[in-house]
Amino acid sequence: MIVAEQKNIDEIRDSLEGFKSAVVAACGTCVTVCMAGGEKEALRLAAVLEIGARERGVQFSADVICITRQCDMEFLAEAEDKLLAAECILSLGCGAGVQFLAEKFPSKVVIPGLNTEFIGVNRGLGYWTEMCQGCGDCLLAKTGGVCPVARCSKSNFNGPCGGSALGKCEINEDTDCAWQLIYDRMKRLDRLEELLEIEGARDWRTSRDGGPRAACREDVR
Amino acid sequence: MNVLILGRNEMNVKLAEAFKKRGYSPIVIEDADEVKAFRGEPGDFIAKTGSGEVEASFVVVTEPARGEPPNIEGGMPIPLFDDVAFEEIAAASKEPIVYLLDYFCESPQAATARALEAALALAGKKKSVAFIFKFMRTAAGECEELYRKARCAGVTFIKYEKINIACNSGTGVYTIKAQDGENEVILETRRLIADGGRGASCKFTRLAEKLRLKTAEGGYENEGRYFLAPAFTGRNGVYYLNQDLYAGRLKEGLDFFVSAVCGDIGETRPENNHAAIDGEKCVFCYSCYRICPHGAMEPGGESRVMKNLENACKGCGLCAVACPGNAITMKEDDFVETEALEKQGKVKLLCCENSGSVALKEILPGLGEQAFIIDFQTVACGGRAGFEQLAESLRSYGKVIALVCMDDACRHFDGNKAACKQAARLSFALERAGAGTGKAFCIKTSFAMANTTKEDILEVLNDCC
Repeated sequence: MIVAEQKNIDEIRDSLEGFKSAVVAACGTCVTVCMAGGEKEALRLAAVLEIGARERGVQFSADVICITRQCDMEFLAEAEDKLLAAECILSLGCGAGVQFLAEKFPSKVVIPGLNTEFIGVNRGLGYWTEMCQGCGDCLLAKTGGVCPVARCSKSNFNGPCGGSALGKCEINEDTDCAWQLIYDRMKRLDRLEELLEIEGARDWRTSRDGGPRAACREDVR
Repeated sequence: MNVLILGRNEMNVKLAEAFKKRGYSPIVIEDADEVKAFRGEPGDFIAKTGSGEVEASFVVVTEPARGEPPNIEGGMPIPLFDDVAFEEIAAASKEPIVYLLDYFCESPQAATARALEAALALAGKKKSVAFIFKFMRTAAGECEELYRKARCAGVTFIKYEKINIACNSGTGVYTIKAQDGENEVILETRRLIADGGRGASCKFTRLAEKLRLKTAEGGYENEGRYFLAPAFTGRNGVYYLNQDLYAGRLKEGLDFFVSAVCGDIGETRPENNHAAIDGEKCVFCYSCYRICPHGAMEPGGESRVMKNLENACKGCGLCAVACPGNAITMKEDDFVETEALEKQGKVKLLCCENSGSVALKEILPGLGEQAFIIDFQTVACGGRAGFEQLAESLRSYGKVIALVCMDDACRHFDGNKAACKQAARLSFALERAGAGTGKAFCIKTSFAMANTTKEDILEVLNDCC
């Protein structure tokens, strides 16, 4: 799931400077689940912006709309009337949602309300951690199901660096050393000898380094 | 009606007989680990075991909760209340007697009374007694009087948040470091007595997790567990037989327990207020399932929509605040009333129906003219006073206060803490939005704290009016 976090409200407030109203567009999928941009957060944000404006003596009103998925055009079409009538759109979608709204409503200013952070998992109420970096060439089969690209701070491919101590990464004590996790998993699976194989230099063109990517399923197009 | 008795306990046979006499059909599963999964609500529980499913209308856990004594540095266990010969200590010791109240499976009220009586008895023998506790329930029944007497008798009360106990096995001296905020107290004694606060056994913990019995943090192992009242757990229809409570009077204890359970089952259910889920909006994220203190949310089978178990729900509204999809409303929502209420004051007070509204009754007369500045409204729990409810109040009021329980007094476990966090987040957001500071507050109170709470409220009122 894509994990995002709400921007600081002063940044949002500054982006809205000069607008007398906005439609706060929640997104009903990933960012709802990660409690950043669902209907509830949109309502909360709208209330805070309105009260803030009132206290500053500025005229501002916010309307809330929840779009099931801001990354699918049919759902954007459903919300068209309300979005076209908006003075500006404050999107609580991930970066994809914000851009898709801007693309589909070219006459509107679309402001991001979230910082999109990572692809991750939920580890309990209100806590998410990064698991995948979308590198485009998954090697989890070789590393016991623990990703060295996303979970090793240095994205090392052939074992830990010197900063690994007592299973933790040197960047901070809350971060597990991915290579410790890989080693422990492979040991448990009795496949340690597979780690002896040197992983060669990687072709990063499948990742961001190859420029913007597209996925295409010819069989269904 | 089936009653499922879970756990290995010598009282099982007598307990089963007692339920049979009252017309229930007992089913006993002695090995708690036999239960692989558990779901349902009062009247309709299902326990999945290795050999199939067991249906039961209600459940009694008899598995003893107490585990091994904690590891104290130095290896010496702390003598427990039940094992201590008080007369001997009282006669022999010239050292201070330190009494550690750190229960996990008794009700705070019962444990407090028991501990206070003991401390009082020791103090009566001209002993120096220190009483260290993480939480005491002094504001109820006999406890209040006992607490007063103990203070008069010279018992020193020390509250802690964090505790560290080390023991020199050579001299037998315990060094106790009790920390509360910035303050740290260090006590040294050979006479340390603990009141039951041992970690729960692994088997009990596993069972409690499967049954989703909400646990509270605390105790010196930071894994302390206690239930709010003898016989009751945080989950409707699941009861806990705490054998320790009835030591020496098993027959009466059993009678009391069975009547308490049968009385509870006989009560009219469900409670008036419960959560209603909008299937169109539910994103099936499990937030409500995770936050519900009463095990009242369950996956709705094939529909991929969360389901509220009305017989299990206690209407606190914590789920409604947590739901990111805004899919949950409370059937009898306190906030529906809000619009109907005529706004008169300048400050909105949302008080929880447990401590908040009781304390307010004591406080209001003392506020005089100032009382007219406040419009108050009772909510089921502080946890219901979420970000949006507080913000909504601020649309028509200058300030909003959530008046909630003290820690460990919340009927819904952490509703009070949730209210404080929500008020803090709202304050932060409003400040960033340019609305200035000092708009949303959360005050923890109890009916015994009317005076200090009054001061807290006056501070907010004076600031704005």
